[in-house]
Amino acid sequence: MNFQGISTSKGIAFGTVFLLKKIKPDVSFKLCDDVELALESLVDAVGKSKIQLDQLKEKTREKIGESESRIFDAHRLIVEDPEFIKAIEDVIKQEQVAPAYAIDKVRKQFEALFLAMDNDYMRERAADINDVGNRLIKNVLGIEDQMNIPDRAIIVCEDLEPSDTAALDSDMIAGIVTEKGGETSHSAIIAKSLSIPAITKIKVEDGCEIVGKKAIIDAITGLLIVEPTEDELAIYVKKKEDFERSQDVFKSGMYEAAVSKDGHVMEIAANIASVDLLNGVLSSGADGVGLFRTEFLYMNRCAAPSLEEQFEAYKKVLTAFGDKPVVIRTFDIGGDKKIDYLNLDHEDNPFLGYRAIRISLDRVSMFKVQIKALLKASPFGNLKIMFPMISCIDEIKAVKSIISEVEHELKLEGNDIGSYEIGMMVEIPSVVVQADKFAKYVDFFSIGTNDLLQYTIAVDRMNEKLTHLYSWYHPSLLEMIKMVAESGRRNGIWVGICGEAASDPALLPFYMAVGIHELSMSPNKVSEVKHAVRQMTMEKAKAISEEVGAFETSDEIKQYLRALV
Amino acid sequence: MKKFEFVLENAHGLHARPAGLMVQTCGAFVSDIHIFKGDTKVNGKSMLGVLMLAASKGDQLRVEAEGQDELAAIDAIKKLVDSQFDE
Repeated sequence: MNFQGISTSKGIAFGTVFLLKKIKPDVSFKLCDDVELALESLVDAVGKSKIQLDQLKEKTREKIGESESRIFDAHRLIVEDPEFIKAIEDVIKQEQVAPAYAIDKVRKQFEALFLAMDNDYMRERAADINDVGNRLIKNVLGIEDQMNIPDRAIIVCEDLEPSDTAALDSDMIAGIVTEKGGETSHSAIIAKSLSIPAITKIKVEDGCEIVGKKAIIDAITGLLIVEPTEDELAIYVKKKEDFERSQDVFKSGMYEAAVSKDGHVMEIAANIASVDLLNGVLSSGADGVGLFRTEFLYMNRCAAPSLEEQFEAYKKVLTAFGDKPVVIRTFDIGGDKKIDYLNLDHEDNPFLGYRAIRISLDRVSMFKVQIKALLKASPFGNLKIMFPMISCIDEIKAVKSIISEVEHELKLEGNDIGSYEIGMMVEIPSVVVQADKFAKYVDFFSIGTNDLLQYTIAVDRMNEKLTHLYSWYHPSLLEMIKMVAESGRRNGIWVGICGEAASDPALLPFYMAVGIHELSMSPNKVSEVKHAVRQMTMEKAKAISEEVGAFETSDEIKQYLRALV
Repeated sequence: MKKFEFVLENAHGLHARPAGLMVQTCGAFVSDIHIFKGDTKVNGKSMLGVLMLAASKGDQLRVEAEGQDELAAIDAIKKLVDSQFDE
């Protein structure tokens, strides 16, 4: 049985199909017929949770260590906390409601109490309450977790959210097949940064008989082959070897700078979302970090990360890269990245709403903690601080005044501040139009092609009915990139690109010709793009770019450029 | 009823581990045990309660036990405090 989809992270792998079902427990308001029965089921759920926590503790102690396992002692004490359990029982009795609803209600009350505390450590305990509450709810509803994936699993699911990465053991995953999402979705970005082959746009019906079957994921052509024949297996063993060999060619000289045949240097940097992925980025041969997405530090938890925690994360990445540049972008929350503890209102149009720098400038105290952590980390490497979603001059001015205020405070406290650059994302058309004015306030521009494209052509990149319109070969996008690059040159600041389009070797000649200084991409693309730079000359790049300027449509440009690669 | 007052000496206050030890110790007795920090009163057998005290180094705390084994309970808690929660 074969399924045809679209490749989002290249590679070939063999494994076993595993259907990842994410069950959201139903905690909606429900009355219960039998209070006694409800109370009994709560007691059972507590008992079951205790056993699970003991097992988890034992497993963690063996696999990781004694001190890491202690967190489960705390969880166990919460699950048998008489005040906590009594509060749940009271809700069940007084409101005559189902236990899942009662647990959720009480959990939220306790969470709120801890979140309101004036102490980072205690605020973080809210995460423990949330965890324990979830466990109890799942047990009372009889829901089994199935994050325990088998070795060499080809995960099939609707979509993977950023939060799923933490829960999944990436060593066990052979491939990822999703129904939703395109080349720029989070699951694709995650798969690329882990170098796991991935395909999207494959829908597997419920009850489909492919679960547990052997399969080949061909994420070069976008094919999932379930129960392959002997012949197919043999063909794919060979294909996999060929693919890996071609990657090896790219990798020779991977740690050296990318210099074109006629001596033009292009800085090829990597994107990073989590400090845990640092080793992968270091071994990719990247010339630095072009985009550290700090919002991931803020996800999967109950309170914003403390100053200390952020400082350690930034310091670690800066130290690892020594004198190579590390661009750290302040949190880009909102849009498709939701965070519970910020209590953001539902918005009909989140991409045009309260997100990124707009939240930072509204919730200044939270933003200042991040700036403080960044400045404190500045002596440890080559720091460049970048701000997302700037749309008007007032915002960049406000940001700069906050930075100088925080720097002043830190100096008064006796901290060393290293040198650093300040830059901004160019992802809103208003900035492109006014680029010369913005350039006076910053040391660099980094063009975020994903957002710039969707804001320019009014196409939601997640809308599957519009994928034919969403093309980064769009002549307007290329024209905008050119405008920003020229503005950078006029004003003596450098310009980089950090969207998905940065890693497209077909566009490389265009980037070189217009004067882009840096390209930042998923780590597994670095060696391929460096290889492409080395094959190019400026003369050739300029000729190609001139041709590109004459075309009228995305498809013409795409056809022309792809034929040259 | 038996009472006992002490000043918390642990560098990091009553964080999860010492709070856990306190809760486990209190839980071993049938007496009702409460811990006070200023006007705040919590159940000594409740992990969330003890954590919510957010007691830090230098805080003055009071323990009250009431019930058939109140003496033994206070003794055990005293020992725990004197050992600085094994830290």
